Amino acid sequence: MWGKDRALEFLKKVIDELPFEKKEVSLFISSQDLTRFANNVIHQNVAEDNLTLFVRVGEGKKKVVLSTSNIEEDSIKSLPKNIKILMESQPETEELYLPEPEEIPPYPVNIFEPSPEKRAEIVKKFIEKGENRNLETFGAITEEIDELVVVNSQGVEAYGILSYGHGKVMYMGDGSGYQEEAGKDIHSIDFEELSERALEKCLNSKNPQDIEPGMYTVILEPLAVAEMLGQLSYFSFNAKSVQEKRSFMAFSLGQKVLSEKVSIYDDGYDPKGIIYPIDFEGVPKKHVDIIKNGVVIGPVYDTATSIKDGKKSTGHALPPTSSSWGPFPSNLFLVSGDKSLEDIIAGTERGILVTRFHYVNAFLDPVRVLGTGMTRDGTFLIENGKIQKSLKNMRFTQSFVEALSKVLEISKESVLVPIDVGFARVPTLKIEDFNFTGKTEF
Amino acid sequence: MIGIGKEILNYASLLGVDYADVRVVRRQVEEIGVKNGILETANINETYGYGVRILYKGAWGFASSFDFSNYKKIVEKAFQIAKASAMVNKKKVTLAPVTPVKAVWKSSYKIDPFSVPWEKKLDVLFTTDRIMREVKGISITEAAMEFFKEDKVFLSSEGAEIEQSILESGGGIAAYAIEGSDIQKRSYPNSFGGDFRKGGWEFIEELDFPGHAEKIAKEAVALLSAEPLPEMVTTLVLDGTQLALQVHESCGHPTELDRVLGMEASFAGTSFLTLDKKGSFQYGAEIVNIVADATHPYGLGSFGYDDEGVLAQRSFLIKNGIFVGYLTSRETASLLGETSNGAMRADGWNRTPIIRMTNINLLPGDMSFEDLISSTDEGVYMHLNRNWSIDDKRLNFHFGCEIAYEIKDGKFGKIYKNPYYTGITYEFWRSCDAIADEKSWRVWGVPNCGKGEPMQIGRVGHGVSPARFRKVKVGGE
Repeated sequence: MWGKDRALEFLKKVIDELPFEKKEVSLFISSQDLTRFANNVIHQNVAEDNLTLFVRVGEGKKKVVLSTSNIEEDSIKSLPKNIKILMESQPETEELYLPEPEEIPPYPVNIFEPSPEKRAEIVKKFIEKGENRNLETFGAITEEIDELVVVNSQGVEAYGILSYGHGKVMYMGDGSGYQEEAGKDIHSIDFEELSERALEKCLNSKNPQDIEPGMYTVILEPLAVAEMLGQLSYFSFNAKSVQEKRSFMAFSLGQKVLSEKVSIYDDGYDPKGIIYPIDFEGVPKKHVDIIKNGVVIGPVYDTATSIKDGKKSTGHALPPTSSSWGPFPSNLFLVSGDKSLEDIIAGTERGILVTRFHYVNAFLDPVRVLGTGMTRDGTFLIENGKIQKSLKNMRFTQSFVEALSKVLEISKESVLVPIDVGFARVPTLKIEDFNFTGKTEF
Repeated sequence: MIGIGKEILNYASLLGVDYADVRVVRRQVEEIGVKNGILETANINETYGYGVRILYKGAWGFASSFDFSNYKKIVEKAFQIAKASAMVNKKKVTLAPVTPVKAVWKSSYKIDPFSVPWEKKLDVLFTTDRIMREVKGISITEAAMEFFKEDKVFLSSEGAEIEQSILESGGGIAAYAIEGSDIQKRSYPNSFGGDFRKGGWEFIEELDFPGHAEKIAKEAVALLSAEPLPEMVTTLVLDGTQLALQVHESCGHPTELDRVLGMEASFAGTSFLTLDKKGSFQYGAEIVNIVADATHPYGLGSFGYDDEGVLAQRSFLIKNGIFVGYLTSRETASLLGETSNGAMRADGWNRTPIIRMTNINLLPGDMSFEDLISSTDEGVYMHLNRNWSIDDKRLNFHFGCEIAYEIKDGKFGKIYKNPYYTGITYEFWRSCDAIADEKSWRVWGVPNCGKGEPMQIGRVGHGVSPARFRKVKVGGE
């Protein structure tokens, strides 16, 4: 780790070397350790130390982004010359928008020393549990600590730390069962309980039966809901996609288009998630209500999109090299309900219980977020309030916007999991008329 | 690079490991993108670092860093991690033999794109973007190019010393027509970024973005008033770009031996091509021949040696319709009593090598594309991928395309929007009854293949010509 003082001192030196009107320099320092296991052995066990220096500069209506892992003096000294070439060769099109400084609220910092030995001990317990049942064990344990530091010519000097642990475990025999969870570190995750849940899924998913595709009431467990929320986030909750009218939110701001049971927000400081204090422009994360009681409130913003809408950034800028995508939520919460999963199952006359989705893709229709994907690792038929049998995996083709307009119940329990960008805390959802369009052989 | 690599390897060898290898990698990427007349992306990215892989008591450890001054600590970390793996593992890794070589390999190109002035690159992109925006009804336009340069050194404790230089170029354009919530998009030469290959600026010139801009923009507008493809079971002809993705998802991934053996089970899944099927399973029709070919001159999946120092090879995966081979590593090949066919690659210096596709090529047939269409009484021709999904054993797939053209009495008819097709992998390939000849065969570059944890982005290729499939379920969303 570099620490705040060293990182800010370094970036101030770098920014002083840049003779441009608008400038921003940032450092992303990341240390990630990951232990993967399959077939009851650790087959990949890795640790990586990464550093990226990002430089964004603008003059008039011109802008350039550079990034490098080389922070030797010669490399830093060569930056102005390289930037000048790129500046001079481009026409005037759009200026670089930079944020003004804001105070970063205090947040709990959790620094730990990643330990391959501790990860190995967790894996060993997983494997022993599987071997006792003649099952093969698969999964991964991750420990990550990141520092993000941003300095700009408007006076921003921001430093933030992100750290988390994550574990996933899967058992396979005649069936398969999977569970995963994230926490502030690996010690905050109850791996015993996690592996018990995965084991139970595996044992119950033996001898899966065929069922015809069609419209079913579904009970989507948190991992399936996280996939759905991830797609909604990717296609819809981003101010740029709203401005370009590629998001359903562009057509429904202020309107109630989802079930009133559904509320979704993003909050980098919510202790029930992974604390993510600042974005890649050094702006502190704000609490953003995206959907409240089914009403579309609005997307998240970075500086460029906020200026276009006459608003302030909500602190959701991506790394400069990805900024053309626009802002992105990174700490999503789908608000829990008040019933237990057990009660939701007990109150279901006929439906399909889905543990997890696989390979979901909603490019079919980004506005409706029409996604197709498969179920996996535990799909069950519920009849008369009870799990009756295991089902073979099924393909769905379903608008996720429409699905969230047909939510019948939401569980009080929720799980924190990583999604494509950041994390989401999600409950179980019971949804009616979910469209299964195909099936597979297992 | 080789000097510091040797220092790192020497230190690893002192620790008493069973095996060690070191990769030193410098990567430079230039990305330029124009959207709606605005230069949105003008990025130059450089990354330089090293990764150390250690085998100790039959268990792996890997560590990587950008900080060369700290290499002893990183080597020690890799060793500590391997020891932790050994605490758990009852089975030991063995590596299939490879003859260690000292070699230098460079990919070929005519014009170094990094030496081409930015003014010239921007002129191509702004001109293309303007032509697309001039078409009435177009809402969003995108034109982008990317250049990729990688210099890397591989050193192993068995004595390998390999230096490789890779240069790749590519890009693409797209036009969106939007009416209410209906978004129609046409892309060239491929969707999701375009096409990429080993080569230089000459490939960008060959692609001729400005020359294709007006056509795709007009097609995007025309799609707004087209009908969705009706749901039916019919004859399907796939263009090269979509067929490349079909090969990628339904042949490339399921033949990765690490997937077959369960090493990706908890993430991307496993494979229906289990060990018992090798040599006997009817994967496709007899005319279906698919090779893994890392030796192709411009394929994105080509190289001199893989990231275990194994020489680039060409081997059959599917021969006369029968599944005959896997993509392997030294570790997985040894489990089958074979030698590796050289498919291990890492995404940069910071990630450990895993089995990746090379160029997974469907060999051409003997019918011209024109004859293939003219001999089709009724069906649809789908063009350019729009969405993709396949189950975790790679059986049930669902692909959407940008556009479908009706085929009636051997001729193209009207266009349909939002087309998709779906099926089961081996049923689909068994229904293949015509593959166009080598005149319409080319290798398409896929620069964004995700696999592994932490996620690694692989750059792979797929040589294909259009092909015809019977009795396929199609529809329009």
